[in-house]
Amino acid sequence: MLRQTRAKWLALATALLVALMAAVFAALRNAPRAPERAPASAPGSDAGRRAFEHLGCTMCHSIGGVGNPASRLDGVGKRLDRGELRAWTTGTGIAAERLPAGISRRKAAARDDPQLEALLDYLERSKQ
Amino acid sequence: MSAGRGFTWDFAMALGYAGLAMLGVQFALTARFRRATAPFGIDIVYYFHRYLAVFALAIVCAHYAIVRLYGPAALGSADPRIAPAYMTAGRLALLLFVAVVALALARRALRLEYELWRVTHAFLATAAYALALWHLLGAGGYLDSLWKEALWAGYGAFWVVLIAYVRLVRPFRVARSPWRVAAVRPERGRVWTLVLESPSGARLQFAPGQFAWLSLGVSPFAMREHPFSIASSAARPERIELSIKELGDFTATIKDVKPGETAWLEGPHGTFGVDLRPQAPGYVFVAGGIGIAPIMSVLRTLADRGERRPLVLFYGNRVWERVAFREELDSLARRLDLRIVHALLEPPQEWSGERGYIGREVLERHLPAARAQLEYFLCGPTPMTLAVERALAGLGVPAARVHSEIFEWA
Ligand SMILES: Cc1cc2nc3c(=O)[nH]c(=O)nc-3n(C[C@H](O)[C@H](O)[C@H](O)COP(=O)(O)OP(=O)(O)OC[C@H]3O[C@@H](n4cnc5c(N)ncnc54)[C@H](O)[C@@H]3O)c2cc1C
Ligand code: HEC
Repeated sequence: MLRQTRAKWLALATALLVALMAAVFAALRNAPRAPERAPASAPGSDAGRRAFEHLGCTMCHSIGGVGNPASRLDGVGKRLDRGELRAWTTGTGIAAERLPAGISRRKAAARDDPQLEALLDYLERSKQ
Repeated sequence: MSAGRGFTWDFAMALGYAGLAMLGVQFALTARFRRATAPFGIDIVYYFHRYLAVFALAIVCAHYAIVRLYGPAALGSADPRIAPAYMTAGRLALLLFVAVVALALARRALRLEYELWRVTHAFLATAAYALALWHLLGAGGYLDSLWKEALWAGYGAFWVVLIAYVRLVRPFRVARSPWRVAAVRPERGRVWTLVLESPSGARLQFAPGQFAWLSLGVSPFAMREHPFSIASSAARPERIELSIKELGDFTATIKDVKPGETAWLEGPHGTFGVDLRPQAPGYVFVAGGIGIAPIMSVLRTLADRGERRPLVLFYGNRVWERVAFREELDSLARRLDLRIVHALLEPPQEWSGERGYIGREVLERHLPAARAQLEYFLCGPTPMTLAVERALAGLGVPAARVHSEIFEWA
């Protein structure tokens, strides 16, 4: 069973190597460590904030620590104007060019939502 | 802003990609590329396949678990009516992978029929893999488009080649050189020897101890082949004998096979046998039951080659009447410097040989003093193999000199 044991260790070594490579990849991508900002507290709890959750934005983004921490939109209102925010929120214009087609399609659902303006207000107010 | 999305998140995503890549390799591992697997021995490739599955599944589970803990919002609702299809695909893929691995590990305990399991295994694994790819395509926003396209093109090509090889090229090659059943010879102990000759005069060059996959009664394209050691002498590559013990559905049909039927062989495979250890001062063989088959090939070949080095065979069986090849072994003992030690679990009254399982005492009684220099070849039921390996280690034989052929991979 020496061969079986060898195969086991080889498989384990492969898995550990792969996990290590994944860790190196993640470390490199996050290299000059962006200072981990504490999430700014969510500005007000209103219709816009609820729309951010119920339209599924939280699957990919977070604001004030609510949602997916991988893509934080804290302070987005400082960088983008309302037109740009609308484009990114609804997957149109410049965002349609830059986003993968599947994501634009998902964002399209926000286009006709009655809460869209409230959602944009909410994003616009997120300044830090 | 750097490209990263936080170490934890990126790590989790990378684990997802890596886990899927490892699982993709799984399909290639069982494709039996002969040239690629020959240097290691195909058995180790199958073991690797089994263990890698477990570790790759752990990596995929880690991918899910980290997201679940670190950013549960990213998972959204698990309700398939609300969740995006690619997230549902990912969840399903995870469940299917768990099922595939669990079924493979519990197959014997569940008494799942081998052929049924094999088909289910291939089907579930492919379905799980397809769902996982769907999940990756939907959820993976990592790669920019050029890299992505190159990667997918390469990946697509890999799959096309792999499927074409396994389903078409390999069976086609095997089908091109059919063998004809020349005789079916009954042996002791519910063993039948299938004698195969090639109508075209083709030969199967093999090293004694190697095995081949046999398709009999179904075409190689049906992919219902069974592995058997070649039992005949490597000095006669034009006449191949397989000695098959009746154990289950397929092996029970051998006794009814008629001369003239067509059979196909895919091989040779395997690294068991003396030819890879030519320098040893002598060889020791330990066989249990039908584990004698590859060892018969080695002994017959050594006799045909005029081997002079000392050989010892330990051969364990239940009862004397069912000891396959015992007459032929006696005549081989006259042509070779071969000592045969029979061990019986249920010996007859007047039995003077060894009794019970082959263990440390039996080995110690019959092995020469310079036992650490010899090369050992074990083939039999797995419990026997394990026990003899342990006993030999206890007798100071280095593990690197002990070679085991296992008939129960799966
Ligand atoms: C390298 C190797 C060499 C072998 N050499 C011999 C030999 O010389 N003589 C001999 O009698 N037996 C040999 N075997 C065992 C033989 O392959 C199985 O006994 C046979 O395939 C059982 O098939 P079955 O349908 O009769 O039995 P089943 O009852 O269907 O199966 C019994 C067990 O055999 C295994 N098995 C069944 N089908 C396959 C298959 N297609 N591929 C792999 N494993 C399978 C499974 O573990 C299964 O649980 C060898 C096995 C291996 C791996
Ligand atoms: C399926 C994932 C997904 C969903 C759901 C999603 N987005 Fe996005 N969003 C992205 C991606 C990918 C980008 C591109 C930038 C990036 O990678 O962070 C982006 C970019 C943005 C940007 C610009 C970010 C910047 O820093 O320039 C805004 C604003 C935004 N999205 C708002 C929203 C809102 C509001 C919703 C909910 C209606 C939403 N998104 C839903 C994936 C998503």
